[in-house]
Amino acid sequence: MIFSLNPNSGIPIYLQLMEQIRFGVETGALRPGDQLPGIRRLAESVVMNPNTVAKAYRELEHEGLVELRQGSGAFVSTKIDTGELAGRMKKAKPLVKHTVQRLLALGLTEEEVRRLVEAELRGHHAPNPPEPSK
Amino acid sequence: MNPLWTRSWLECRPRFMMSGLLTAVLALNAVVMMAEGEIAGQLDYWEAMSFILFGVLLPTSALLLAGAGINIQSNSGFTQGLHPSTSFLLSLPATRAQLLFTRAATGGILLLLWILVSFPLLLAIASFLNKPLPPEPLRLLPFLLLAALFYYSLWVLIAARFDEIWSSTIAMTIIGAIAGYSMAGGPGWFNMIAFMKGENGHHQLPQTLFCLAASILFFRLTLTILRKREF
Amino acid sequence: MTTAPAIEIHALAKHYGKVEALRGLDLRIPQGSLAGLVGLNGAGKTTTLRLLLGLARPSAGHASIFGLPCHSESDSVQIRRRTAALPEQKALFPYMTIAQVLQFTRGFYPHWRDALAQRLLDDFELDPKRKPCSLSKGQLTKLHLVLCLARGADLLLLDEPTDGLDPVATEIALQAMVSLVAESGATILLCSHRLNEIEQVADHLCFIHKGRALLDESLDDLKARARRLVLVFDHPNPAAEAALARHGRFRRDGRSVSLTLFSQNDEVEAEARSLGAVSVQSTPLNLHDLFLEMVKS
Repeated sequence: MIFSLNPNSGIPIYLQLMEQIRFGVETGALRPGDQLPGIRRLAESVVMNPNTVAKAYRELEHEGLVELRQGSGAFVSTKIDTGELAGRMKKAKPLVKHTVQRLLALGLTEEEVRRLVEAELRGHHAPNPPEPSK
Repeated sequence: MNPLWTRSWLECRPRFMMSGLLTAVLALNAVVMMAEGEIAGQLDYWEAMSFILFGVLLPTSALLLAGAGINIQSNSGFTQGLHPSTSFLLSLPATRAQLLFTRAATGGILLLLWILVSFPLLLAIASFLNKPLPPEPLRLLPFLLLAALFYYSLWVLIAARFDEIWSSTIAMTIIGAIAGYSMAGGPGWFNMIAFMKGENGHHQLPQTLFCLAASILFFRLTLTILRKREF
Repeated sequence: MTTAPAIEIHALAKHYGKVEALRGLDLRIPQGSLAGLVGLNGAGKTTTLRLLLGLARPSAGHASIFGLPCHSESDSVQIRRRTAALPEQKALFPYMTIAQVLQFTRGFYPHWRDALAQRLLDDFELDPKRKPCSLSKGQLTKLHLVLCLARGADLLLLDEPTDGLDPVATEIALQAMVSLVAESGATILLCSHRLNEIEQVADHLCFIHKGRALLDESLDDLKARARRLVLVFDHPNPAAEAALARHGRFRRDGRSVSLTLFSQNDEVEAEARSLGAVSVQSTPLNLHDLFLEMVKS
């Protein structure tokens, strides 16, 4: 799995990593039981702090998405139902397609559509990252 | 401690070469002069050579080998900032005493070597030119060594306080002053050349003790300055 | 985590004559962390490093590394056995070659790692036969990096370790640092102006300003609570502005108002809406923005 992290965006890196792992599971790039890259290996290949990688993995374990097995590393949990995740995405796709097409038909540019969606999302929730587990 | 000896040697090596070169040039000069015949009659070989060797070359070689010490500098003077690699040296797991000792001892040993080579060489040239020499000249060695120790410890002390340009200037001034005083035949303790030639009469013994005590004092002061110094 | 911090600084003060370089600095750097030390020029970063290494003594306060006090010479030597420092003044012995400098340094550290040193020399393309005085600034920095990273140290104090490095060399340097932390649990204190690099690899941030620590916390915690709100009002509303200004740094431009906050709660957004803001947008701040905000306020 290829990760693309932006350290300068202002969003904590561990959150970005968690988000990308979740996205990987949703799209099927990561399947239940797949091994995630080792902390050291990932830290070296992306050039990021290993403690941050560890934190992301721990948070995902807390959420139930990931299993940390002593001595072997981190694995995508076999207990999650990817079917359910994939199903949600499947239902969402035509909704999005329909809305975007209508907005474009109104004469909006792609950039304007993008801005509207982002504004809607931002206004929808304040940035409250999950409580870190102790 | 081991690598400190290596680096002290590497640092002293060019300086040792310099003092050797300087000695060789002056000795050669003297040989040519003496052999020329013109001046031969006017100057006493021993007087001239002892003045040059004891009054100029010995303290100058001591200065070259004392060098910049582990040092360092002051915020005044021509060179701002620290001597290169001082920050690096001080961040190593060695005490300041170890840093000072290895560097000072290396320079001191090389100075000793220089004396043991150049003094007999001088005597050899003299006998080659069939010039008169005082009897048993090698008995002067202890005085030479003490004088060298005196100068060397003084230059190391000055180098602990001033940067190399200033400390060299101060040192050369002192060398000149002592040389001039000795030339004028001044009596007493400042006539280092007479001391080294063993000709200082009843001053000879106290001056011996003075050189020894002063050297010890200078080294102690140097250590105190370095320990208190902030970088 | 209850392991002792690698570095502990309490009320540290240092003055040089009339100049107060540090005025009561408090810092705690956890073991195994990669901490960024940032601040304006002259804020006191290099002075802090000097005091930690025992190059100078504090005027007041206390600093310790691995539980050992920094101001006593014998303890300081103990500390330095396990520490690697990359100095601000990067010049090195003009009479030694790179190979000799490595050999020299190696003699002090029993945990020196030959293979890593060799690999880094190759990666940085340093010729062991050259002398440091003939190197460019960037190459000297690279040499110092090799000397620090190969030492097998438990703590690295790096002052501008990417100074003069091109992007490729910077990446190599950062990767080596990250690798060291992952592999040996070493602690790294990274003193730098390159905020984007610190943001990339640090997990702890210390911000020094005028001799004091304004920030000393995990970088994630800091980013979680720092944000900028952009509010739009229908018409200028001085009463609302006055009320909101007490939450943080405040700037108005026409009908838009920007507010920089360092707290995590949503109440400010709710308050802004109740005061008549028609649009409330929250954006996270990156380290560069944070730095400028901290300095201005």
